[in-house]
Amino acid sequence: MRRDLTPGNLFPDLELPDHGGHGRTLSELAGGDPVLLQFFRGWFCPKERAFFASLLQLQSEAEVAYTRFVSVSVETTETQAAFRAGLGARWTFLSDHERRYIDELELRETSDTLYNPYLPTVFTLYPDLKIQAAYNGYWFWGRPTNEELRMDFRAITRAIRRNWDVADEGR
Amino acid sequence: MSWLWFALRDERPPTASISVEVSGDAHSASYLAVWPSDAKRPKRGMRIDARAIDADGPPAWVSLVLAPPSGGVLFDDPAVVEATRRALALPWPDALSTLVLEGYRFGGSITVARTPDDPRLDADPFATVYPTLRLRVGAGLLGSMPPPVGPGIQRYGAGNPWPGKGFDS
Repeated sequence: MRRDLTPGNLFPDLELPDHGGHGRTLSELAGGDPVLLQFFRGWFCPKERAFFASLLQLQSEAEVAYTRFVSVSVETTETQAAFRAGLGARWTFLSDHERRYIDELELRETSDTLYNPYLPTVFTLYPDLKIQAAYNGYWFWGRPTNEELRMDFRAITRAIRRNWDVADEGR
Repeated sequence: MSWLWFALRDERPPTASISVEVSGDAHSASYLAVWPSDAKRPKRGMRIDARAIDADGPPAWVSLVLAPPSGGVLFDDPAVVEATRRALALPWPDALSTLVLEGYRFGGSITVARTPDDPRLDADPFATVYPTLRLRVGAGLLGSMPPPVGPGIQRYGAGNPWPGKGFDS
């Protein structure tokens, strides 16, 4: 992982097609809300499917919490659309089929020379793409638990929502 | 939040900023019309996500779901919430906006495609809440908008239509 992809630094503004083929930028996707940015190997990996099961549980909370999810892999948009539908995920997948960013971000999983996928990695981001936390998930236990993600999103939301402590308003 | 007033009318409304003739489903001479958000609420007017509107937009086919004139269910009704989830899960159409009545009621929705046989019209999840009209809409009203990022199903501020772009837009 690139050395500057650490808390407090800005994540690069990726520009990639989503699972429907629409061109998107990460900054546009953030749109003023906290973001979970996940890089994953591909649909074929049992570890990824186990981690997606965890994210799907968090989806039912994030859907009412003004928090956005973005998942990135080297699969085609068509493959991602099918995987997303099969999972029941209701967030955006970005396709880096051309591996445009995999080396720039130093997120190539070098131990897999067959698929050349992304290294499983999770970032929690502020709306301006500042990194709150980074998780290296090459080994499964390096991935964030939903409790860790809740704590990250609490910290970001507290920082960006002016009325976080509504009782202080008007004082 | 950027929204506009939106209504289906039997006659072309002279005060509307845009009005376009529609046909189909027994609405052979009706009009879809929009007004700016700072205009007085027009008769049967509902709030629509402004990104769905484009005065340069090409002709379209729409699935237009409308609540009964007596008023729609609350926007947070489980039926609307589940339809919103389905809209996020399904392939996104050219444009989609819910329609808001009185700031807190579900007035319906509009799903936009460019051909009459587009399967995204048949799959309109909001048609499970109220009946839908299939209408052909002339050029100059409906644009294209990107899919919501997901998984958010909440509106950005009470009174605004879903999806909306964010709190700061």
